[in-house]
Amino acid sequence: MGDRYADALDFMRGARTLTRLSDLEARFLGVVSQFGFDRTICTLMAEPGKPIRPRLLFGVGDRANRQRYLDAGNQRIDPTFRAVFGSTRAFTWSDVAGQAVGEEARELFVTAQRDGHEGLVVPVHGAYGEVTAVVLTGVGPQVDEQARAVLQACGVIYAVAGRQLLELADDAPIAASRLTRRETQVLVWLSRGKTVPEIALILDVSVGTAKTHLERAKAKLGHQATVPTVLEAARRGWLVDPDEFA
Amino acid sequence: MIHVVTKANRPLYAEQLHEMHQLRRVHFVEERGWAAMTVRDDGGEYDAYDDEDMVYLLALDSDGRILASMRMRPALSGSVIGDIFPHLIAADEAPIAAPDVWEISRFFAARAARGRGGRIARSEVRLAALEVARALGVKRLVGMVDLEILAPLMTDSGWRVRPLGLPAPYAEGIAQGIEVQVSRGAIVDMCEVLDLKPAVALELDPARAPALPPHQIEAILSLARIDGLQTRIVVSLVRRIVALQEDVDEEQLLSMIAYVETLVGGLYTSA
Repeated sequence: MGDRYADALDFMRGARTLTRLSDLEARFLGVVSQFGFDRTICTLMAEPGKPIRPRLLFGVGDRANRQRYLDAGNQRIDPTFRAVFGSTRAFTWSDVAGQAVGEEARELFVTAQRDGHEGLVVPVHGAYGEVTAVVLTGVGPQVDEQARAVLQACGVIYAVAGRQLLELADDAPIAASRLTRRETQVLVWLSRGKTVPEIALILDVSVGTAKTHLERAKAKLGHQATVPTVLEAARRGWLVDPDEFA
Repeated sequence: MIHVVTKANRPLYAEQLHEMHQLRRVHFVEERGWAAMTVRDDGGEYDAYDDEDMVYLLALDSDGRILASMRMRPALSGSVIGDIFPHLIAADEAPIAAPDVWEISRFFAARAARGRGGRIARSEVRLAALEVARALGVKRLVGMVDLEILAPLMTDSGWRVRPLGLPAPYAEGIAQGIEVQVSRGAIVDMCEVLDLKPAVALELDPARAPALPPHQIEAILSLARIDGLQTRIVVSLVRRIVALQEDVDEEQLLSMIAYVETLVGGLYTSA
């Protein structure tokens, strides 16, 4: 009984130090499987200023099937989606099944919950209207109050850490320099007087990710401060935005 | 800038502290429904930790009204998490009843400072907490938050946050213990990530500050920080202030100018 909670705490402490998404997925699955879950899909539900179009981000499970479900427009009838936006607490499919209106919606739950399957949905609300959801599913999982609280905390950290790893993975080396595409872009925008939060908006990544790229560039160029890093990159002729002349 | 209200300079902030307790009632009791809290006859929310050791951080608007606020105290002389929610701290964590640990609590933003418009006020309150802590030699800030804000706390607060233990349900939500790292690097990084100018914490010395409302002193300092003509601006502004006030002799005037100049030029140091 005590061990899975100890594992959950280990995950909460260590998840953000992992550098590979596959490691994060494996560690998280290792925790939630002890509560009876075997699928751990994280979905981006909404971003500020963009049309609501749910999109699968990462996780263990039948991703193709999940994406098909999202593409089919089931959010119109599936009360789970509404609950993600309206709730800050983890909830189960059984909690919201009663809100299903119409034959089609009720059928979704009958299908999903066949053979004792249950889902625990962890809504993750960002600072400025961004919403992601971690959906855990399994057969006959344990979802008492304490388990829900711990799974919610682990789910939040899973979503936060996974999103950052996804953003950092969207990068590539550049032949002409030792910096990556993203590191170069951050330095180029800094040299034009943009701040880190502005650059995060321009590159459509979180401030944490923009900052991580900057820190990596600093390490490669051997400086601790930002201004010398930009100057050094300029001196080496590396301040060329790889996307600008593409 | 963020006003640091200590035992010593509390008399300067009687009005703001009254408003802060009122807003705490609005935010925590009325909006969040924390029914167990104590509301006094004056309509303000108080608890046993609002004692002499408590330090309040206040972001004020140009009329001296509160935009955002947080409170912090030495964990050694009592803390909400240590006394009431100790189960939020894992058994293998270092004890929080230590001289280099302070607790943060009651962070809120007034309605005018929610959403993107209040981003700077809220961020500066968090930055001020780090600055005050660092000036006092504090290494760790601890506190309990509702699990619903853990994600934005980790991604957008600029703080280096880590969980102190497993969460636990409480009457109105799920509580999570957190620790915030205090270090020079944490402050530098926070300023870069959120594009903040450092040294936001302003602790007025009640014996030396001009006899003006704190938000007006802040306005002068903010103006002086904008460009390089600091000394001239400060001197002329302080002269103007003093011209409006009777019973100030030349010596007091010079002392005020020297004090305001120190504030303009200096990084935050604990008084």
